[in-house]
Amino acid sequence: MSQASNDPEVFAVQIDDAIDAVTEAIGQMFEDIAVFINDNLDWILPLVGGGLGISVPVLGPLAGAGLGWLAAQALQGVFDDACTRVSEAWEQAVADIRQAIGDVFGDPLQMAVIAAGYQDARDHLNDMSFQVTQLETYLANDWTGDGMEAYKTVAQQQNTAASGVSDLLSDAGGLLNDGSTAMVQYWSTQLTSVVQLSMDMMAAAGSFASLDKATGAWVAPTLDLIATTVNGVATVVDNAVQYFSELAISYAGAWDDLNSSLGSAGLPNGEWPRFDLLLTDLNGEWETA
Amino acid sequence: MAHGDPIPPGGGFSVEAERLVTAADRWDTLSTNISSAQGAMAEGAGRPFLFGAAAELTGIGRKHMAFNTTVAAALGDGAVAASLLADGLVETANDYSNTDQSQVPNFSEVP
Repeated sequence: MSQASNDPEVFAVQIDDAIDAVTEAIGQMFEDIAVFINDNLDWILPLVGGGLGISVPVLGPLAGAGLGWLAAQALQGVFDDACTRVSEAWEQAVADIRQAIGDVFGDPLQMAVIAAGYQDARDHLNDMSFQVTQLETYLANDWTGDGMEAYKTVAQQQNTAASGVSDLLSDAGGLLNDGSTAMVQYWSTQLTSVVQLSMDMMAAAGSFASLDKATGAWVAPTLDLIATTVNGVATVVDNAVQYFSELAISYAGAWDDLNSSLGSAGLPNGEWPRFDLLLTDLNGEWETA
Repeated sequence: MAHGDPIPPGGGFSVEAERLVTAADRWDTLSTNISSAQGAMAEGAGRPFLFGAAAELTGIGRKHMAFNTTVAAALGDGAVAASLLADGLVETANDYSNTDQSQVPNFSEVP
């Protein structure tokens, strides 16, 4: 499998290169055919009719009589038609490939950066629980009263929120890393498909070299090229559909679950716990033990 | 003197009051840590197409942004809450030491 970069800019270049390779292969094939025809027109014409579906009686006498212009035009017409059909098929293929990849053209590199930021955020919160517990013991040695009791409750709420956010960030970072990995895998699958298409196209184009061009047998490889293109694009589109149906929807559900768990993670109504109800007690009696 | 500034009496805070001030310093540090955590989340803000345009049909980018926005805002409030707790503890120490010059309650809620 071709390994895609997790950097969207680099991946775009990888895809462009693969597409360019196919385009060049197609162009080279037709250039070879054109050069061959031009170089050998004088002896191709009497022979070419059968392979092209043009009757030999029409072409042969004309060429043989030195009146090859009409036959050359006919040959050129068939050649141009083949070029057009392959070009159109490939243009559509490129559009389909870019659509399939563009739809899932996210930013796995940025996902990884954000996940690292979440981990960094967790690191800042990590020792809060220990410190809050330590402070409670530290103050409880000297202080009692409603104020101190309210402080314990508020401190515990803060602690629960910090711990809950730390867990949320861990889950979110995991989702981002999983999403990043899945997207790069998808990109690699797509890159592999396009590279494979490129190889198939080059093979189809290369088969031209071994054919008896004089008989117009190059028409068959052009049809092969079209069929190869259509099949290759179908694979690319299938990959996109599979990614979307199996992964994107699943990840969206996972983010829903995460957003739904804010309350149970110490953030009631998605907010840091308020201590309005405890203010009276906090501002009440603080007595020395 | 601002609300939350320690005002020790002439002979210094008593042991009990000093504990409140020391605890307040720790809460201020925790407030800074929570604020740093909020800052570390900044990379996740404002990226609706992080997962690609088609994936956005599922709303995944918006769901991630909602998470990022909500948690970052909560951490912002958390930093303020920790700081207000610190101020309240110091004011309580001032109260106990009869040096409180503040006209507002020792502890106040996040606005």
